Amino acid sequence: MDTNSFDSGKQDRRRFMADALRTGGVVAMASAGGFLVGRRSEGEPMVWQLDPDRCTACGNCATHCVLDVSAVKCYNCFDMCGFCDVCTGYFEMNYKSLDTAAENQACPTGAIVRKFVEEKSGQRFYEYTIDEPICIGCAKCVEGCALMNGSLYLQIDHQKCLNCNECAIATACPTEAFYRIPQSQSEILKERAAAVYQARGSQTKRVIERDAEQTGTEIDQVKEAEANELLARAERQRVWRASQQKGSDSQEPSFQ
Amino acid sequence: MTNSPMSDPRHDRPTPVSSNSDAPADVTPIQVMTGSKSAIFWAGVVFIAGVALFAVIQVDSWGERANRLPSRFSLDTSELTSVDAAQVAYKEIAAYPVEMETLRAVAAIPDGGFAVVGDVEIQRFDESGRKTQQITTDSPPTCIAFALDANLIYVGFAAAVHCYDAGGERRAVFNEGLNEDSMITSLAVFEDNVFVADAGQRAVLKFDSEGELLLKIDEEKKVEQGLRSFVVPSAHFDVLAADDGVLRVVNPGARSIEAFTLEGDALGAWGETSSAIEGFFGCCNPVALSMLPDGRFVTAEKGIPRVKIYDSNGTFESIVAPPAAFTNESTAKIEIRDSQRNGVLDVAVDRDGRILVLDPNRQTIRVFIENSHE
Ligand code: SF4
Ligand code: SF4
Ligand code: SF4
Repeated sequence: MDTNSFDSGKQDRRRFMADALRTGGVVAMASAGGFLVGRRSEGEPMVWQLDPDRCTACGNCATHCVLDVSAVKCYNCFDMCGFCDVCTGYFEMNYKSLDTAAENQACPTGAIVRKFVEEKSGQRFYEYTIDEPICIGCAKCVEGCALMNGSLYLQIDHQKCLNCNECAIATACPTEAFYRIPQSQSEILKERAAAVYQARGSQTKRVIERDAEQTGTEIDQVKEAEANELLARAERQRVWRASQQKGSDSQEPSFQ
Repeated sequence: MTNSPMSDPRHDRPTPVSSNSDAPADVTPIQVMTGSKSAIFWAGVVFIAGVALFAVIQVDSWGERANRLPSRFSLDTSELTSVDAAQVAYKEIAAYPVEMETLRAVAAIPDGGFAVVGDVEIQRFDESGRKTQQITTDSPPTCIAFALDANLIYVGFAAAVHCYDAGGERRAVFNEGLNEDSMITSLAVFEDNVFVADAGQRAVLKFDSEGELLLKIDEEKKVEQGLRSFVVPSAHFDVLAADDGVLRVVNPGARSIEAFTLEGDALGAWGETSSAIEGFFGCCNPVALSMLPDGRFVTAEKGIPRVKIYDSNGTFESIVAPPAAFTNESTAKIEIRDSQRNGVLDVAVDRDGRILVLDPNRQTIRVFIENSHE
């Protein structure tokens, strides 16, 4: 065995030890946290979520989560997205060319996938999706998109989140953007996104009802279900925001 | 989700021992370690404490970083926001406050002064920024233009154009060709025609003065001419009808300005996509367009807010107002909260050639003239 591989073996063992300790500690804390949370809310379980309307893209979501790769991820509200060829969330500010070369990408981990969708009368449109496992929730793309449409935003991925008793990011968040919300709600939409969902849901309903009336056929069940889902998402947000509003009128802290 | 019920620590609590228990007292004397045993014991304690400290630093749930990532990831906009001072050829000579919460558009009045729309109001001002008239509207107006004799005022709403007389009386409503998709963002008047930019339909509609729809420059009309359609990723879509009888329409998603005859036939286009000062930044810019009396263009951009001058061929010439004029210089951070984001600029050129910039963040109309101008 040469010295280098010996050293790297030592390092691997050290890393293993550190990781084992860290993981053990995190799991213990998360378990205790989960237990306490479970006890705290008698009814529906509560989960952590962040309000994108309070988020300032400070970077703490990437660096303060107890997990090595943060449970906070970026999401794209496609109804607000322009499917832009020059996506300011995807490209570095001083991009060299409009292609997928790493030097042109703003995302530090290359987690945004740029997919060509269509060319319509001379203009090319692209879809931007997030490769969640490698997104670290740094919000750099959120900042970039905010310069234009603001369709990218952060949310906690509950498949990954350990639901710690005290979310380490919530503690560090400078704008107190973290809340405990019912598990069934799971997301906090931007107010603008909720308004867009509301409008799209209502419009889809109007159109399918009109089509059914004009053609004398049944209402398109699939489209109706989609519209209802959008309206329900918007309604959950409206109710939650109204409850927050009521809460903040009577008491200050936003941690629930 | 990890909040599944686990062993309940409350059941694991030691049974309290009553102090007056009848159990025999433990009288075993405490064994005090001495010599090498003591050293080994304390070394063990220090080792365990060290391991615990290491674990805490690694996990660090008390606020420091848990992983090994750099602490900041911000986009660096410094290259875009800093400009060569030698390129700034204009100076701000006045700023007129407007009593409105949300300012949306400004237009010059042909016989002097300017008008602003926002909230649910139209406000008219003289050249010195003194308010001379206020008209309340039924819904939020989005844009405004004046007939050449200034006797008629056209005001755009989401899906209609209202025509007012100089006294503020509503005379007509134009809504032919406008529908539930419509989002009117800009108006222009040339002689007896009113041109309406509809961001929702991605089209420019031409009306006569009575509100009859004469023409629609939409995807179909453009594709017929081998042109790309209007690409409008956000609700900013500007139209300009200048004295030269040419209609100019911003194609924001293509970062270009397209010229048409008044019948909708293409004459050409200019504009370059670039984050450099010469080009138009991001997915959809410029957001506003106006023209100086000598035929040069004034543009305003969003994202990196800046107002610039292009010559009549579309070649970048100079800067009217750099990004620093519109942003809070104390922080270079991009504001992502919708409630805190900068509003979008609008521009107009008044009768005297002064550039009027609507700054919705300061709720003012800011007036710029060329440095060389006394
Ligand atoms: S800048 Fe925002 S709106 Fe435009 S494509 Fe990117 S994600 Fe979508
Ligand atoms: S820039 Fe940051 S937040 Fe956005 S996709 Fe990449 S890692 Fe995720
Ligand atoms: S609750 Fe824990 S795992 Fe979830 S985001 Fe916060 S720190 Fe990360």
